Amino acid sequence: MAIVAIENLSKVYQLGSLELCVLRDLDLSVEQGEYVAIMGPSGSGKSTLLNLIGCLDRPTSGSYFLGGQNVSQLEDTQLSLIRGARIGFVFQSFNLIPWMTVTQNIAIPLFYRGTPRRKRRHKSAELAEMVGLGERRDHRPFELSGGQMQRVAIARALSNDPLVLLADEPTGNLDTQTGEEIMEVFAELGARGKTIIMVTHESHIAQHAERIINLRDGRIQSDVMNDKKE
Amino acid sequence: MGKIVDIILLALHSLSVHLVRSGLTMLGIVFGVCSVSIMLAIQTGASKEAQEKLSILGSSNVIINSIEPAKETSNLRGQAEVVLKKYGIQYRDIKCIVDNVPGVRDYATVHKVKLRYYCPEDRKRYSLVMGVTPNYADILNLRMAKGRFISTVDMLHRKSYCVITKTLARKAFQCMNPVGKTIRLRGQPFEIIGVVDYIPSKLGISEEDIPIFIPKTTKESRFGQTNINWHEGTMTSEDVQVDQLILQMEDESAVLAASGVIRSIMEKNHDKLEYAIMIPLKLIQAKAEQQKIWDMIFIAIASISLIVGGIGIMNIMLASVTERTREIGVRRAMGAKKIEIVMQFLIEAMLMTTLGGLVGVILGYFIPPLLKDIVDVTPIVSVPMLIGPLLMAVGVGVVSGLYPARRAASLDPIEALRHE
Repeated sequence: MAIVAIENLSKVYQLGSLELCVLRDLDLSVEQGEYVAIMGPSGSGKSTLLNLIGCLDRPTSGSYFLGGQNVSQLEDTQLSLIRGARIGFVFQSFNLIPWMTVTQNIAIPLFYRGTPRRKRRHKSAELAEMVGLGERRDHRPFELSGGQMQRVAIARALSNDPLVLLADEPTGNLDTQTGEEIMEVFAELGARGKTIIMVTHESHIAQHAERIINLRDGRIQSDVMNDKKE
Repeated sequence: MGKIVDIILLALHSLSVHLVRSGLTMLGIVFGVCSVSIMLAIQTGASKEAQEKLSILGSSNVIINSIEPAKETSNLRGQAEVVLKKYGIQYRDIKCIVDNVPGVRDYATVHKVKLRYYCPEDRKRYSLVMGVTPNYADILNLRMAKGRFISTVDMLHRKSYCVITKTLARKAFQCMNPVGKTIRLRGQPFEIIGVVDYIPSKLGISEEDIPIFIPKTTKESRFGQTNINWHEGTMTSEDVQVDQLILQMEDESAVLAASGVIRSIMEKNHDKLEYAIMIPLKLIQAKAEQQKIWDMIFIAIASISLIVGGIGIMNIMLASVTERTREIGVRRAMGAKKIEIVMQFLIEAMLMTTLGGLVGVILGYFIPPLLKDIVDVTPIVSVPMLIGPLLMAVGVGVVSGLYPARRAASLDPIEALRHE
């Protein structure tokens, strides 16, 4: 069964009297354990697509099944619950909460799921260890390097055991060396069977994925399996 | 429930990170709550003092005074004549009232006569000699500054004893102890046995009248019931059986019930208006009503500072929402519902006002007693009294936190995540 099943999906933004069609009649299916990269120039709708997959937004028309559940027309509160339970987000600019420690940041999705405090602490410490920040678990984000911050963000995205891990330009704010390190983390997660959907505009980053989708003007231009994957 | 605790802890954590800012913002609430508490304490003190003064008249008393009815015929000017006047409360009224009105516990009668008094240390003057029953002082809660009041024995033996006021004592004897001294009333010597501390002004007599209390029986036997005055050749004879009747009722509820009955009895017995009924309870109630309005005005003024504090909180919360837009976006993306964002910011605002309110209330508990000499009344503070200001602070937190919190929750998560 497909984790992400999108059919005939369109997204239209209303800008005053102007209708801006960002995604048109899009069909996409992502299977369990796939590692997908979405590429495309700016304005191609790749971020919008990621937001829709991440249940941050609702499609104008069409259907979207996440893990077999139709989420295309849910209420805000239900979408919040689904985000908290099934989605893990990694952002370009890390988006860690500056006044909270590493473990507290990692535990945010658990916080809103209602996981008891002790279990939260335990799990977040475990995840900090996993991404190699066990020693810095009580540090604040400003005491960390960019790569470390992104590792924290990855740990945070994994803390609720999401169905799918969504990454929006995860290496965009990192230097090449650190970017490669982060890609290794993603590769490892992919190898462990995590479903990953990553948006990027850098083709060398996209090369890390098993499947590369090219978007242009709100439509899928190409959808190929990546043979060059090392 | 666990989540509420979590959100409270989260809000506390967030406030502790911005310790200086939270502290300064809280200060507005501290001052506001403190000034409301102080105002409340001063008002309570002042109100209690006013009530005490009035309650000397006795809230369970009904006072009836004899008054001279309006003159029916005016006599020719300058022509000497004999005027006989007979008016006022009579003994049969008293019997009627005591027999028929429920709830009368006790009563005292007053017989007045204006007499020249003379004592060695003061010039001759007119004083208001009052023949009273021994229970007069008890019923009116008169406090004795020195000595004692007239007793039943004094009355039985028609003793030539008198009780004077503090004002007269000071004027006539200066620093000397007046008890045991003698003054003369219409030439007859009376021994001073006590000094009354204070005469309630609403009683119809004032310190200027120089009231002197003597036993009722003594008054009757020495000076008679009829008062005769000479004025420019006209002799006026006033025959008043009882000048003042003070009825003490069982309790306050009996007063209101009895006042109507007493009025109708008096109306039935007298066809002229030669009496006046006074009910101190009604005066006290009117005074309390008036006090309430003042209380409200004072507290409203004090509340302005609380409102200013609330505006400060709202301002900081709005700034905080803008500053933390990204945080809100992250939280929303990580599964926070709108209501959870509302709660987080609302609780932050409420924590600030509640903590500020607590500090303000503590200050408001300890400061008023220090103000005793400055404000001229003894402020009264009590713990239950401070619950009001504290609740006001919590309320200010809700009011000033709600708008910023709702604004935070209504942010579009996608926009919020992109916010720079």
